[in-house]
Order: sequence, then structure tokens, then C-alpha cells
Amino acid sequence: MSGPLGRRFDVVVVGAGVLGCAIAAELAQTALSVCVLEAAPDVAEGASKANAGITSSFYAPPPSIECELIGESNDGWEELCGRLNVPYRRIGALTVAFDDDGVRGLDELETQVRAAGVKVERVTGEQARRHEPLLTDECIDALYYPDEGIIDPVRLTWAYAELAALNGAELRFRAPVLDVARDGDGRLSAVVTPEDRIACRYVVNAAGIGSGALSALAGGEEIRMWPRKGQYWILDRDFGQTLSRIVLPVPTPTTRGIEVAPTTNGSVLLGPDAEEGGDAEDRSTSAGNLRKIFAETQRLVPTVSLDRAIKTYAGSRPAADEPVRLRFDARVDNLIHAGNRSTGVSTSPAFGRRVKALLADRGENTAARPDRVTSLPPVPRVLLEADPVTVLDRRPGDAMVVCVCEQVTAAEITAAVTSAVPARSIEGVRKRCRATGGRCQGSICMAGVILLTANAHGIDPGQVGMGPGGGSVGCG
Amino acid sequence: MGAGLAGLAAALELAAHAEVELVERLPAAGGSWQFDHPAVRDLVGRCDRAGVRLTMGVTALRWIERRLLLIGPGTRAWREADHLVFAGGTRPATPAELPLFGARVAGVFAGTVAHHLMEAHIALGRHLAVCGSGYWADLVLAEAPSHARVTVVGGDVPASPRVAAAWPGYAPVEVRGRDRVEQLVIERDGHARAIDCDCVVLAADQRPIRNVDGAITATPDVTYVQLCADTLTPDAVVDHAIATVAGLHGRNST
Amino acid sequence: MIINSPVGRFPFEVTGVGLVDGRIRLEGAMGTWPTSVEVTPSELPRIAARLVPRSAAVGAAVLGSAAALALAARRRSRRAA
Repeated sequence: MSGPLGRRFDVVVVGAGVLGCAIAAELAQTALSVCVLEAAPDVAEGASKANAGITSSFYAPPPSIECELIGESNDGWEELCGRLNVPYRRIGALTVAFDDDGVRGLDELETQVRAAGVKVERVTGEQARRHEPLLTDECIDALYYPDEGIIDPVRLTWAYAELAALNGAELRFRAPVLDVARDGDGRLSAVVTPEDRIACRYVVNAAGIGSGALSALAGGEEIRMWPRKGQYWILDRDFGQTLSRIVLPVPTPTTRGIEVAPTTNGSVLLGPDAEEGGDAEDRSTSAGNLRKIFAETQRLVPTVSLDRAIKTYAGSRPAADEPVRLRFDARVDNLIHAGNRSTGVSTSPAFGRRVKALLADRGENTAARPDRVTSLPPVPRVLLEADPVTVLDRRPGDAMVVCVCEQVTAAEITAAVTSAVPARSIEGVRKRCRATGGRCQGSICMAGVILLTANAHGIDPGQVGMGPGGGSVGCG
Repeated sequence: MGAGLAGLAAALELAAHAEVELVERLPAAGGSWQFDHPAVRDLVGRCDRAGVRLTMGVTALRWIERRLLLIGPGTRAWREADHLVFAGGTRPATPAELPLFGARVAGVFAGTVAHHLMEAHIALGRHLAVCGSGYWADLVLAEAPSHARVTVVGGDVPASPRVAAAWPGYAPVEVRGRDRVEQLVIERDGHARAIDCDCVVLAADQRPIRNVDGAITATPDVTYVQLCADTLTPDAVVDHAIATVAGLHGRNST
Repeated sequence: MIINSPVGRFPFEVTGVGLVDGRIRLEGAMGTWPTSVEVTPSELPRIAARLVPRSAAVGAAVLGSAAALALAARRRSRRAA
């Protein structure tokens, strides 16, 4: 045990990914005091960022906790995203077959989906092309899921974090858990970060790919997790406006497959592939993988074109021996595991409520505080307004467009850098409001974004963060 | 749209035949040539006398059914027009466009951004790898601090004494590093080599800026006036603009 | 007057000068954008010391409350959009 004694919290949540933040948002609305510890410099720096931005209506067949959690989450997206200003659209998805093997795969899938009670339609190739005119003529048979949606997974994570912070939760970044303290009964009594020692009554392990290490540190059960790297192309909004549905191949046992998916900001994702066993920190893209991803998506939607590519990226989703963990540890009495290897975004609303229920079962008072905050103040977004003339000029900067490609105003950037969980890096600004994320990738607006960020935090422009690893703009 | 030399020249050429409004994002005309360049001042005066309506400090965002959405301090409006002439300037290619793969790390900048930051005396590295030659590369070389070692990748070998090493004919293919760029892998005819560097400046392969929804790719009611070349003179830009819009007034006279 | 900032070099026309809460305030326009500059007397020595042509720090400080507007612009982007 080391480090100065810091504050005492009822619950320490380890990990500021989509699950950690969803849980913190839920618990912070009760009388429990909550602290979120994140090793990275910002929210959503792990799997939540490497995610394709899809809210699934179906993933795993029943009976399974994953199936239950998706069911508990999927009806509420419109209400939740409305409250939290998270871009969301229920656009529907098509799983498409090209040949007899694919048709047999669809048969099996259809049985599972129907058993789960999820809305699905078996459609012919012809009907599928009516749902998505860009779909290949090669498609002979398909499943159409009307309840699948697209969401901005990073905005969702940030919104949960904001809601948690506005309800009094403390969020600490660059705060990895280095050690834990246990009482005589083996219960966790504190966690140790580089800065201090934080006393707590419960620890929620939402550390994503780091969950296994945290559980080992806490003396908990063995969690086997390994990184599954995926790469993506992003195509521009001009192409995006022609695509209306998520298009996927028939899934394999390890992956949902390389898909073509519209995003909530109008661009299109191609990917991800699945590469196991590398370094969880590895975010590098490679020509070989990306060429293969492009070829596979071209088979689904022949009009995809690399002339429309604005960015490539890679991220790591955790693969695990147990797909979804949502329960108390078998050995450590006050350690809750909250992990999901694939459908973290899709199950995040249910995770928050279920963790609250686990604590209620232990006799904790989890009633909602009457003074709790349940929604976030809206920030007008030019890009999402059909006629932005009507929403502008409420505040200074509303009418000043900084990032032209993504139509982001100075007001939106200012909101991103001055919020409860503010952006401190170019990446952080892009994640919150899309500035620098468009066709020119910040060629025009990045200097402005750097200065607005530096001004908001009273730091030198060279100190503004750049890239996910925590490096900064300046050097030498 | 765009009141750099190209936009000014195009507006002046068209003003004899049509009602012309010239919209500019920045609060003064000139674009990269700057407001007090003699050619800019001359064209601004001539546009003014020819009846061109100069609307400065307002961003055009969307071109939908011959209406242009304008947003800026004090201006939020849809302008009806028969034709959009897009003189939005150029920029270096992005990593996805080159394509350049590898690590996502700090220290990789578009030439446009690197130049702004260096001009502001923000140190971007001790060893700069500048990809490409021409306008943005020249600006970056001119601003590179004296203590920085500069390697130029691709393009023509620049005459600048600032350049410590040059790899003409090579293309950048991969960025390596953990938090910040540590190496740039470059390639020519299948031969790869890694250069140590802590800053990569992408200044190669000029691309037209396209940032108005509805005018990203060619449609009959949009004309692009964007000369993409490594080196540009005011005369070349003006001549290109005039030649590009020359046939327009006839076509839209209905 | 000319304002050099990391996002552009623009003419600044001063239309008024006054003292506001102990600060010198220049009212005017940077091109077509309304812009003001506020300086406290204690800042003057520091500004003088840092008054390097085309310095970002000075540019940002000089732009003051108009910084957000100025930052929206871009510097020397060719044939601006």
C-alpha cells in the first residue's frame, strides 16, 4: 500500500469506455458516490472507439445474458439519445447471402433471431435491393432487421460521462490502477493510482482489455482476454448519402463480418476485419488488411470506391473466454465485473441498470436522487439541421464555421473543450464534435482547433494532445 | 465561392455577362495570396467596379437545388443562383489519399497545418520529414527552425540549404511510433527504408478542397476553378480561372 | 493595422479606443468581422517582450474576445474558400 490517502467513494469504476461510463451515469444518479478511473487520457480510448457504431437488435442466440441485455436496451435508444444529444438513427440492417452456403447460414441465423423474439424479415435478393439499392446483384437471399440502428459510439460514451459528472461523479484520466488494498476478509478497501489511494466500498471492473489484469491484481477470478484488432476505411459523406442500410455478410463464429455501415455523421465505415493475438495498444493500419477489407465490402456494395476514402483506422476490441461478464467476482466479494467483448455499445443501457440492481441486492440504496440530472443541455449542430438558419446565433460562435468539411461551428468546439468532461486534445475535439474529421482531415481547421483547445485549458498550443497515445502537438 | 486570385478572376470574367456574388470564408479577399498582394488589390478593385457583390467572412456550406447556404456572423441565408463557381483552393493529400498507413501517433501534420504552427513558433520536432515539394513544402522549409534536421521525401530535390537529406522518387508508405512518430517508412520501386524522425509533414500531391455539400463532385450546375500544381504563379492561376469559366455565360444565358 | 495570426493575416481597422475596467479596448473590424482588442497595462511589458512578428501567442492574445472568430479562419490557404 502506498500513496497519499485520497477521497473515499462508495463505488470506483475502473475504465471510461462505454460500459464504465454508462454504469457511472446510472450510479451517479443515486445517493452513491462514484469515481471513474481511466488509464488513457480521455473517454472511449479502447474498444468503444474501435466499434462500428451499430446498435444491434440481435447478436447471440437465447438463452444468453447477451440476448437479454440487447433486448433490454434496444427499445430505448430514441429516448436515451434524445435526452443525451447522441446522434442515433434506426435504419435497419441486411445480412446477405451470395450462394447456397450463405442461404443455409441465413436459415440457421433466422431460427436464432426468431427464437430471440427480435423483428426480422426473410427477403429475396430483389426485395433486399429495394431496401438498399446499392446492394450487389449477387445477393440472392437476405435477412432484414428493421430494428438495427446506427449510433455515434464515442458521443454516447462521452454523453454517459457528462451525465455522470453532472451528477457528481469524479472522472480521472491518466489514472491507471497500480495496486489495490484488501481488508481482513479479502474485500477490496482501496485502489491505488499514481496520484493517490482511493478508498471505496465497491469496485466495478469495466477495464475492457485490461479487465484480466485488474482482476488478477484484485485477487479475483481469472479472466482470459486478448485483443482482436480490426481495421476500417471511412468513406466521405458524399458517398454516404447514397447508402441507407447497414449491409453485412453472413456472420462467422468469431466475427459479425466485414460490413458496410452508414455512420450518424453521414460517412460510411468499411470493416472491421478481425486479427487476434497482437498488442492491445497496436492501432496501426496496414495496406494488406485494408485492401482485403475493401475487396470484401466491394462484393457487398459494388459502388464503394477508395476515391471516397477520407481515413483509415484500427482499434482493438477485447476477445474473451466469456463473451459477457456482468456479475460479482466469485472470490472477491465487492468486485463487480462488467465486460462485453463485442456488443458493449448495444448493451450499455442495460449494463448501467443491471449493475445498479446488483448493488441494490446487497442492500445499497439505489433509489434515484430527486435532484438528479437526466439530460444534457443541447448544443445546436449545423450538420444535423436541415435548415440551420433557424438554429444559429443563439450564442457567440454559433454562426462561425470552423471545420467546413463537417460543418462544425466555434460554439460546438467551445462546448467540446469546456464541458464537464472536456476535450484536451485534437482527437478529443474530433471525438466530441467531428471537427478535423472530414474530407480534408483537418488540413484547413486543425490550427484553429489547436488554439481553441489551448485557450480553453490555458496551455501552450504545443501542449495540446494529438493522437490517441497521448503525444502532443509540439516536440523539441 | 472563394475570393483568392482564382475566384476574383472568375468573378470578374463573369461579371460582364451575369449578376455575380463572390462569397469568401475569411473576412478579407486574397486567400493564400493575402489581402495586400498587388494582384489581389487590383482584382478586388476591378470586381468592385464591375458590380461584383463581395460577401466576405461568410462560409458556404451546402449547394442544394441551386440554392447556396451561407453562414457567418450576421449572415445566415440561402442564396439562389443559376450556377456555382467553386474556387475553394487546394491542399496536400491526406494519409488516406496518399495512401499512408501505419501508426496513429502525434507528430503527423498536413503541410497547411505545419506551416501555421511553425509560423507561430511552435516547435514540431527536431527531425522533420517533409513529403513532397512545391508550395506547402517551401513554406514549411522556410519556417523550419535552424536546429531542426530536415529530410525531404519525394518530389524534386529542393535547392534549400535547410535540407539535410533528400529521397527523390520515394513515397511515404508507413508511419511508425508509439505516442509520437518515430520513423517514416518510404518506398521506391519496392525498395523500402525507414527514416528516423519526430515530425512528418505531408505536403505532396495537391488536391482540390471540396467542402460544400452538393458540390463535392461534378454536377452540371457547378464549375471548379482549382488549379492543382506544385508551383503556382498569380498569372497561371488567373489565366486558368478565366479559361475555365470562359464558356459559362453562354451556357447559362437562358 | 494588420493582424498576423496563425489563421490569417488580415487588415484591422480601428474605429474606437476606450478604457473598459482598466483595460485599453480597441474597437474595430478585422476585414468584415467585428473585432476588439483588450490589453491591461500590466500586459504591455510582456507583450512588448514577445512582440515577434507572426507569433501565435501574440496573435491569439491580440485577437482577444474575437479569437474564436479569427481561429475559424485559416492562414494563407490557397485561393481561400
